Amino acid sequence: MPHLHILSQQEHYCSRWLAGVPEGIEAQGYMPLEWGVDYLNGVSFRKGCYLGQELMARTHFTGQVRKRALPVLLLPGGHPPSPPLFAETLLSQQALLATATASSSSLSGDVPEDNVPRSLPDAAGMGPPSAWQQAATRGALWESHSAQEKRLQGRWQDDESPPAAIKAPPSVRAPTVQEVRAAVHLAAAAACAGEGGLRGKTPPPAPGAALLTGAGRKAGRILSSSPVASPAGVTLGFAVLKLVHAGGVMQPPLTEAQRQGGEIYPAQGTCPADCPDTDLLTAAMEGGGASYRVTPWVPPHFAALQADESQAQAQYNDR
Amino acid sequence: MTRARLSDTLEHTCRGPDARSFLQGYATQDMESALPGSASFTAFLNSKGRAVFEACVFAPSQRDNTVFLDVHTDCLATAMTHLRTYKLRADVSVTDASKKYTVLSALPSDVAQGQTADFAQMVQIAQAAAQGCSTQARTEHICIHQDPRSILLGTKLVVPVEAAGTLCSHVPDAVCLAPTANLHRGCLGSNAPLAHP
Repeated sequence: MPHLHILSQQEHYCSRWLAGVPEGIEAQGYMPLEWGVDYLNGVSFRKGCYLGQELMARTHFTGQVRKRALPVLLLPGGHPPSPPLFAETLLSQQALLATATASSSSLSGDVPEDNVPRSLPDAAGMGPPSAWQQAATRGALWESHSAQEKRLQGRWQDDESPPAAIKAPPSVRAPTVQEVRAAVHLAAAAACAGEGGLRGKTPPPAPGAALLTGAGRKAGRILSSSPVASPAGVTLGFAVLKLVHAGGVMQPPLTEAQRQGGEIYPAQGTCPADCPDTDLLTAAMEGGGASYRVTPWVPPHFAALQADESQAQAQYNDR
Repeated sequence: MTRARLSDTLEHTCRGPDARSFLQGYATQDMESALPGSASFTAFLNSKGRAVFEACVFAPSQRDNTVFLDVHTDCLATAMTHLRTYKLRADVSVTDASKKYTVLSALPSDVAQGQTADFAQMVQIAQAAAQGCSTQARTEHICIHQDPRSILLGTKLVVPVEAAGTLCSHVPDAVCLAPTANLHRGCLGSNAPLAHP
């Protein structure tokens, strides 16, 4: 029998971050389609008039959303590598993964020592973080979400059903707290591996105060950041990003022909280490101060979003 | 012993015969087709189509015309102003229920191999835990629903403030990104004494 765990604010932020769900001031002032209200089951395009409907409907049926609110990882720049801290991160997240997949019915005790790896691989021996990250996290968390994504893809069909009563199909389950933590750890560790490790805890940037630049141009703005940084100094956050820039830091990077052809959505997965430096995003506080390297994290519903946009484009071209 | 912090969302209440039709004119989601007992997610926009606030809307029953709006703390005052501005002559009263109710987010803490924690099970556990923890909390005032935005966000519990305190006293505060040793805590529904770090 599973138990319920009531989330602290930090845990709630982490689960929102993994799911790519902005909230509060992260959404305020932006067009709802820019923070994915259609994929969060928050809009009906058949209900009739309401305040602000005109822009929503026009964007949905004819327009193109050029910015999206994305979860990001903020890495403080300018710090030398710190292998011990990176090892500490590895230890904790590998133990967490073992815990998340264990078949124990109660987690009130400590993790059995057998679940903790005796020898830790160093940062250099890790291999590409994206492959490792994919193997470790997607199987547990993202795969369970795919059924819901498929269900949500029905928005282009004529018989749109009112999505008020969301009942999860039997095959879909919510992630456990351990899985959320493990996925956040993995994302942070992958970002660290791309940086060669980090040291120190730079205070997270104030929401709205950090401007994002990519290849020398404005690329977006930080919307919020988690109040607590990871042991390796990585901070979670949300940022609104121009998707042409977000695509540049994804793996694989988009070619110029793809960008000009309208393929602005990146494939799922991030790999900052493999991308050319010119495409990396950096965030700097306006008026000086700390600077950060920013790595977008593609939330699960973006795969459905990409498929829908392609389908809509094809339908539009056929008319 | 430290206390778990609550989810940083608070409640508004719309009450009156016109509650649903009033919300229908301002929410992006279809409020008329919202089923009693289920939650739906919606955004409220200004005339330019920009989001003013977003909320999870929850109607406990069809009989009384009360609708709860779960609004983020940052947008609480803005939401109140927005709704009262557009209330006009609708037979609706908009009140701040954050002193009476609070919202908790919950995820399953353990899924054994091959076992899925389905929503009905989670509801049962949460109801049992809430009733067992507080003598003051009445059953009909505890609303539990799956987060309508994504299943990845788990379950939301709308509970009276006094019940929330009792519920949360079972969970020691923790930081998600802390090392492993600090990540084990007691779980709701467990009869075993809780080990606090």
